Amino acid sequence: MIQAVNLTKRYGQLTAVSAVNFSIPQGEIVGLLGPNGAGKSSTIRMLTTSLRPTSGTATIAGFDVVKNAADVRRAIGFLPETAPLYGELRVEEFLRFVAKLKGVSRPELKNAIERVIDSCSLEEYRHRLCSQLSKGLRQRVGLAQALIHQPPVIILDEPSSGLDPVQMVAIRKLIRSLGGKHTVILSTHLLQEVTETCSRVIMIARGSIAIEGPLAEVVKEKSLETRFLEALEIQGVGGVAA
Amino acid sequence: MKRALTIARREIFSQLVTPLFFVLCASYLILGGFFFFSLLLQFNSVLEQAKAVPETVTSLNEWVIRPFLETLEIVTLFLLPLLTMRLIAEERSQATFELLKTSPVRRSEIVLGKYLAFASLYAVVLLLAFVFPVTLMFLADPEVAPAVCGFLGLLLFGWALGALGLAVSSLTRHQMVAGAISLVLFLVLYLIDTPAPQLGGILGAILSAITPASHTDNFVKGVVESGDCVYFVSVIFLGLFLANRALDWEELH
Repeated sequence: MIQAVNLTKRYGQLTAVSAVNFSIPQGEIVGLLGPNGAGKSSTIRMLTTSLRPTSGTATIAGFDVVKNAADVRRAIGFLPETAPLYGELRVEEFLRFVAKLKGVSRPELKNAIERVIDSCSLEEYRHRLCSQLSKGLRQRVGLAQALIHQPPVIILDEPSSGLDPVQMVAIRKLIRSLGGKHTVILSTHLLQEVTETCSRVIMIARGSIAIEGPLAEVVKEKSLETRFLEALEIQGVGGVAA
Repeated sequence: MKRALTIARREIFSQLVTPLFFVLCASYLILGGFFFFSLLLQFNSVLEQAKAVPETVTSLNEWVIRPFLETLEIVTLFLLPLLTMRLIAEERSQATFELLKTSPVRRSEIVLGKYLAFASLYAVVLLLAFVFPVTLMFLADPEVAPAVCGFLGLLLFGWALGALGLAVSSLTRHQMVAGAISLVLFLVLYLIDTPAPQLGGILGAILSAITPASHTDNFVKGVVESGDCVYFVSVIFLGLFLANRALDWEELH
């Protein structure tokens, strides 16, 4: 469903993502792990077509992120690190706006809104202004907008950052429920989030892939934390193991 | 186009539920009203003088409407940055720009949607200010055509500079920075022909051709020249093109 071949992004002299290769089968929830500055965000931005790769390619649902950017955008639902909400719109108005933006047809509009309000448990907040929502609710509305056009691929960038433990449990449950129907990339630096929600792991350090594979295999002999710290040491990311 | 209209509708709604737009309308009307009634008083004293000297030509268009439109043009210079500064800069600062960029929407549709929202809101503000000349039409008998023509000139003047303001707003995430740069840009463009008479020659002619002020002059006098229309439409396209390029550039870097 998602494939990256030698995907590279350079900003001047700095190589943020260096010839990354990975392949994600349909229906999997994949944890994209890595310390801050590892290249996760650049990878996500290239997959979501908001940043053009310097070299290499990536395809989503068979569409190239550069040549078929419009098709890729139709095939993905994206929740950035900060939920992209318009504070002056009510939840339902916001979802209607996003649905129109994503090309949901007029007869389908009402159903699409009701479906995501139901799946993200937003019924009692539908008439509330987005600016009045708590961080947890903002993330849920953010997820609802990513799901509204029923894309085959969902990309989530740090979906639980800044949430309290109760909100974290709720959002992770929601993400788990997406597996099977959607292919999900979950960018995070929380190892627990990966073990709780993901079926597969890709770890990036210094712009390169350090670990990739099904979660069960990755944690077969050592815990994810140990594998993570070892990988960072091999990559020479100083001070992490300590 | 459908998506551009969706973006435009959302932008207009957002501007209408925040107080800034109403504050701008009120300020524009207060300033417009102040100048309008000052001009009326002036006209009154001219009429008094005309009684003494019967040959004096007194025309409402010449003494009130035309100078009113010329003054409104200067007030508009200060209004425009306040209307355009937030258009794209605010989306950037609120992370909603990520939503637009990763939705199946062309960059040109984002730019067009934002521009249509601005163009509609500016037309509303200008229409409100036109209430002053309209009252004159009920109370006296000014020539309507030159007044409407002047209004059209101001509309094109604002739409053209607004497109440049949109391009500036697409370059930054800080609204105030976009507003300040736009204001300086508009003032420079407006005054760029100041040294033209001294410079003369081709350079003087170029400076006179660049400034939007020289192209509104004919409209305010009640004359529609195709050259002036071409100028304003070209500036609108230039602004939209630059805004589009700014978004493309960002994707590459």
